[in-house]
Amino acid sequence: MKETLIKTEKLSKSFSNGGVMQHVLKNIDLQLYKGDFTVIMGASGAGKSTLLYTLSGMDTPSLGTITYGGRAISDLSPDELAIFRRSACGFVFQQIYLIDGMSVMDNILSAGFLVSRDKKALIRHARELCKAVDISEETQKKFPSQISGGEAQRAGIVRALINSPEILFADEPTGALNSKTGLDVLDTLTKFNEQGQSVVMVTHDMRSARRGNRILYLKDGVILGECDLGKYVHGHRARHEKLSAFLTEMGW
Amino acid sequence: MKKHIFPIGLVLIFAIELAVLIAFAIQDSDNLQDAVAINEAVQSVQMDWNMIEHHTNQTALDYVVLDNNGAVLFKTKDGLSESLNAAIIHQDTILDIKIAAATDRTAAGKIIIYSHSAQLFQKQKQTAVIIFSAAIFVQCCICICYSIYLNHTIIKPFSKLKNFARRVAGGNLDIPLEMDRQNLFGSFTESFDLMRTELKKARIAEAEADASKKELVAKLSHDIKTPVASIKAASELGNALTDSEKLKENYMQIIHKADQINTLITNLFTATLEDLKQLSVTPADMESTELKSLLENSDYLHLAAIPDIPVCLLYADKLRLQQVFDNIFANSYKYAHTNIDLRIYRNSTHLMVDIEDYGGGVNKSELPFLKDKFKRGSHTDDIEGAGLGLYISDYFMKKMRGILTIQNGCNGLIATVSIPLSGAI
Amino acid sequence: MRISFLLACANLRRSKGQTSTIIILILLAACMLNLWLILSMDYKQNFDRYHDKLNAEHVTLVVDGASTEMREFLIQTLESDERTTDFSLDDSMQTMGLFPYNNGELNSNLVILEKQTAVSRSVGRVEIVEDSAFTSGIYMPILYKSEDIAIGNTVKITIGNNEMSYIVCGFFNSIMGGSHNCGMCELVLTEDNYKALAEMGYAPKSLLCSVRITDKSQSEDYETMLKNIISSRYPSARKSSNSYTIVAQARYISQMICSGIISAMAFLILLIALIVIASNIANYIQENMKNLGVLKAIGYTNRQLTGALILQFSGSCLIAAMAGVGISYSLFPFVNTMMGSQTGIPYQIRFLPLPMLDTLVIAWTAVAVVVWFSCRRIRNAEPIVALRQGVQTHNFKRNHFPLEETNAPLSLALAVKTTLSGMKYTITVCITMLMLSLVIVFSGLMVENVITDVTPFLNLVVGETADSCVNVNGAIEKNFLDSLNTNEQVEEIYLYNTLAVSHTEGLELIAIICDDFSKITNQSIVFQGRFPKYDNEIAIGAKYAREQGLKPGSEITITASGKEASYIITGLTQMSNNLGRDCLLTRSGYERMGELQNASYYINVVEEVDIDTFHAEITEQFGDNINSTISILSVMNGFTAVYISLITIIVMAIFVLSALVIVFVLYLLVRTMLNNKKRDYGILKALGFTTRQLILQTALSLMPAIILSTIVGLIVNSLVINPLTALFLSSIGIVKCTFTVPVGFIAIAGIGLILFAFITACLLSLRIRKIAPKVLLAGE
Repeated sequence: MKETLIKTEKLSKSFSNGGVMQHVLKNIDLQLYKGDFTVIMGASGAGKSTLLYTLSGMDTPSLGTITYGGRAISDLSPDELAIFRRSACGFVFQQIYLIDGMSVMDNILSAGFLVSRDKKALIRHARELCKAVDISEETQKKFPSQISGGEAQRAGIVRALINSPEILFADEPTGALNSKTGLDVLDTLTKFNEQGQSVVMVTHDMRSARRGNRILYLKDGVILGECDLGKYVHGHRARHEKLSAFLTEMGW
Repeated sequence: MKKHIFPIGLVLIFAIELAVLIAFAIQDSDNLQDAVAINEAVQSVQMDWNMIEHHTNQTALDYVVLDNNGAVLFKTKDGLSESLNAAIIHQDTILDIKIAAATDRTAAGKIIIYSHSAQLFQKQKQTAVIIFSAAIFVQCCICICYSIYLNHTIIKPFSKLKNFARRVAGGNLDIPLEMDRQNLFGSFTESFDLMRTELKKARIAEAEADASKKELVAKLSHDIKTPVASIKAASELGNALTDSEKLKENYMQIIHKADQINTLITNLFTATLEDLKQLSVTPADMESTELKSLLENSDYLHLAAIPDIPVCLLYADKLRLQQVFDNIFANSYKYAHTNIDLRIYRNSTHLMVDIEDYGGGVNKSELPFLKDKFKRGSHTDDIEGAGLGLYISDYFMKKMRGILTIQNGCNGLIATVSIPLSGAI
Repeated sequence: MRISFLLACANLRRSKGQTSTIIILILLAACMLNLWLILSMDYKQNFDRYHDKLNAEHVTLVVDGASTEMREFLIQTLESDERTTDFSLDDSMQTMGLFPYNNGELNSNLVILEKQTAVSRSVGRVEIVEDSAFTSGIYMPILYKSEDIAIGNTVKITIGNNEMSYIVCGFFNSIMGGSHNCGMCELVLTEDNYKALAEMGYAPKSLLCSVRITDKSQSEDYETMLKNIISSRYPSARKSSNSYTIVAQARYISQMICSGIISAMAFLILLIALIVIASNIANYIQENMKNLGVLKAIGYTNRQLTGALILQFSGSCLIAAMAGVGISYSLFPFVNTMMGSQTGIPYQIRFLPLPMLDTLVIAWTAVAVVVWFSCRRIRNAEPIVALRQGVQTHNFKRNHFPLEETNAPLSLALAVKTTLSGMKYTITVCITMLMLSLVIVFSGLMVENVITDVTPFLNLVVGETADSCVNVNGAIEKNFLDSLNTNEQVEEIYLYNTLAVSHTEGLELIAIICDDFSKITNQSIVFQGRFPKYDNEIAIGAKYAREQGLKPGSEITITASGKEASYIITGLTQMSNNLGRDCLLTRSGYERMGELQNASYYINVVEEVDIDTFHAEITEQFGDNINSTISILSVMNGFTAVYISLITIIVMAIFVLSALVIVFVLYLLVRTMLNNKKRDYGILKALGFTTRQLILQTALSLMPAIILSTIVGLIVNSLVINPLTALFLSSIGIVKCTFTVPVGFIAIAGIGLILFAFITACLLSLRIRKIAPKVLLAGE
């Protein structure tokens, strides 16, 4: 039995759109397990990103509860949530969202210093991670506007992982990248997952989805189905077909 | 603006330099004598005249005091002009010493105030040399800075541009041209990069055009339906007008095939439209907490206590749901008129609302028919009613994919309204 | 135009808060500008209006003596000068005298007139502004009206050693004699009292001669000429005189100081408003580059885009300036009362279109020009570049401050990064703080040198002060000195005699004669060169020297008692009570021209000695040979109180304004920063930064600029404040100020300013609470 990290109960999220209530997530009952590479798929507007941000404490649910390690995070204040996010979650965004005014290394450390008191260890950790994702020393000193999209996203992953979070949340990490650099980013994520990092990734891209071992299909705010692919193996044909079949069944 | 800063700065530095030099050239060399100090010297000598050997110099000047015979009475230091002739040669100031003896003021001697103009001139020469050397040094610095600047702003960007051109030629359009818009060629190099992005865009546009062609084919097939319909109509007319069996058969063939095409296309493109029901039920997402106000509205006699409602998102038509509750509560009021127990609970697919009164329930045999059209319970003759309420409520609930169940409980009749959870069914 | 108007409205709606802040700054600036313009353009004109209304004289001369022969000589002299247009000559009494004023005493040259004569003179009449039913008593100049000196009260006038009591019947307004600043102070007695005083003979009879001349700019020359003629004929008669030019200046010193300070504040605030507008526009352009590009691409001209901004800012500025002018009129009564206590000439407040127009034109033009210049980025941007600028793709930055090498706390480190990346804000902050630090240093200087201890200010204005001034008859001078030098109560005694001499090629000068200038307490009277030491040396007023082109070392010829002598200038002095027209002579130097009839001695007494008892003792000892005794401190108290209250009000106003300016400027900066960095704040919040950290970081990011510029500003301004104040006071004869700069006060005020700025910045950044990491979702 896998250890549960996050559990939601009848999670709903609604937005008021010009007086009309729009229900983006509906009664989601979900458990995320440690070590999984969970992929949330669905068409545009299915509520994938909303689910991701709500799960990660970036946004508060309208209804329902989210529990993380036995603690309900859905009732926390914004600042308490911020402190929760620091250590428990790492984020990788589609638009990458590195801060323009800071160098790559500073972007990484600005997140790291929030948690760690040991500066030297932190910098060592950051260097190791950079090395692991293939970001050169030189690139570390550059500004986000001076590096390529792939490098920026990998830096984003390092920033997300610098505090060794329980879960890494990735919102379409390859969305803004071309196919080659996108693959690099996916490889990076897979590698960290293999080392035991729990990952939750939102995507609408088959190629990215293949990396996951658990695929959730979201449609109109509801988890329509789920598919267990098992461990990712490169070029595994059966796995690919299973996923295709699942998606076809879901009406992809 | 930025690119003007350097030349402007340069001109400014030169202007300052020039100004300093001019100021130095026209500087009013202050070698005027200090009249106040001289006056002080003369006055103090006059006061001390009678005991000149005790006289001390109170000024910064150097002077020699002579009596009328030319004898030196006092000197501030050696090496000064000690005779009138020497003083004249050295351009010194010679003044009379007058003492107020009794009535008239007569000249009792002379004071020669030493002129320092030779030393002053020497000093000025030195200053001039220093200022000129400083100016030359500044110029050199400027020249060196400028050549460094030129190297940085022109030569470097060009070599960068060369590498960039090589990459573009090789077909790699992803790597942008790194550049500094601050430098002189900023906008120039930027247009190169613009060229790269335009090339890239052109490639993407090509791919998109490909995709839209396929879409066009799909669209065209839809348009085929119209001519097929004309073909069919024309064939039917032909079939009716002709007498030849063979022709008729041919026409029938055409009609048959046109139908077939039509069906095929229809199958492809039409969706089945639901018949429009008179009582439309349009369920939508609603929060379970909203049930509270619905129940409160229906229970206008306040016979029921509303319990906590499990939080979830329901899929229901609020208006119809209100009507269902209204009906159930109205029935209870009519037939039982007791307190009402409410229980609200949730399973994985539905939210259940149990409404139980203390009226004792109905005959077991009647239970299955209560929801039928025009059916009423056995002991209801003296109470008005049409027997439609539960039928309609049941219909509404079905439409919402919910369930209305009626059963006997321990105290009375239990009506259970099961509202589907949003997304569950 | 219509399109520009629509765009302007849209811009206004988007930035209500910022626009209203700019409006308030402009409002303050316009209010002060208008006050300044009223004070400088019309307030002083009031003097001329009254001068004409009362047909006042241009030159006043009072000569002791009442003989017909003197009267005729005077008439003849006046009529023979072709510059004379009209004059009146009346009997009066002239004496030095004292009366209570502002908790102190006023010692002045009193000219006592009979009521009927005073009001009916053809030239230089007095105007009774407040009258009563009392028929026997005194009329005082309106300037001295106070709680103590009010109608029906008794006022004590001390003449020599005699004290008179009169009932105050009313107050009058006299242009040339209504204030101690005029060099003579007129008092009007009713007939019975006048006669009684004349009979007692305390005050010598004199002729009051008021002359109108053709060209009032020649009043000083005329005055000197007249005095010289009288002196040569009646060398021993005591004379006092004044002229239009001097009085006009002397009665409006406070107006000058006040309008100077107000104008400085007005321009400072206007400048800050302009900087804020400029940075606001720069920011607007930065934010809206893309939109501007779109507008340009669909065919808007530069003129329309710039026009919209100019319309928006200058339009709201115009409205604000008008409101500011309105406010200035509601503030003016306070200023008027404040001024009135020094000028003594009532001023009717009325609406003045010209200052208003000037205010509006200045404010509008300044704003329009700044907007036009700030818009040059719009004009220079090609539409396609503008469109692409939305995302700045290429820039080369250097990382000045890598996080991995710093040991600073995280908030501080990130704050420094923000500071470095936002140079525009930094410049605005720096300029604002530099100005405010000037203001602080100035108020520190005022607090230290005027409010808490007025001595430095007094030294600057009156030159030398001592405990007592005793005027003795020259005949007993030696006895007097011998006696006092051995008197244990006396700490120091030295000759300090003031009398008028003439510069042969120039004007009349007030000579201060001292036997040994090294005894003088205030050695900074001579600020350049040295005191005269020998009998052929002189030190003269710097202002006068500049006017006449004289320098130390030059030789000038002085006349007194009909004799001439030339002197070498050894130094320049500064004192404002003769408006820079004074000179210092040694006693032996003066005696080359004439003997001192009476000699005034300044006496410093031992600490515990009561000055009044001391005066009584020596008066008893020497009897009639003591002409007068004056307690200088109580005299000073009276008129310094006016200046102290004036300065106190100004300093308080300055502090309030500084606080307002800081709040507004920071508000704008923080607003724009939050707007610009919304995305960054969103990211940081997503990473787990709490609101508190971000607020701290925002406030801290402003601090380096604030702290640095405040410190630099305080230091630099402390160094330049003395010359600056001197420049400011130059028209009253001050050339060099040696005020002590209160380091402690300035340091504390500086720290206070910084803390205030920090707390304000924190409070203003509370808006960060509203930024949620959700903003990142907006991109989806």
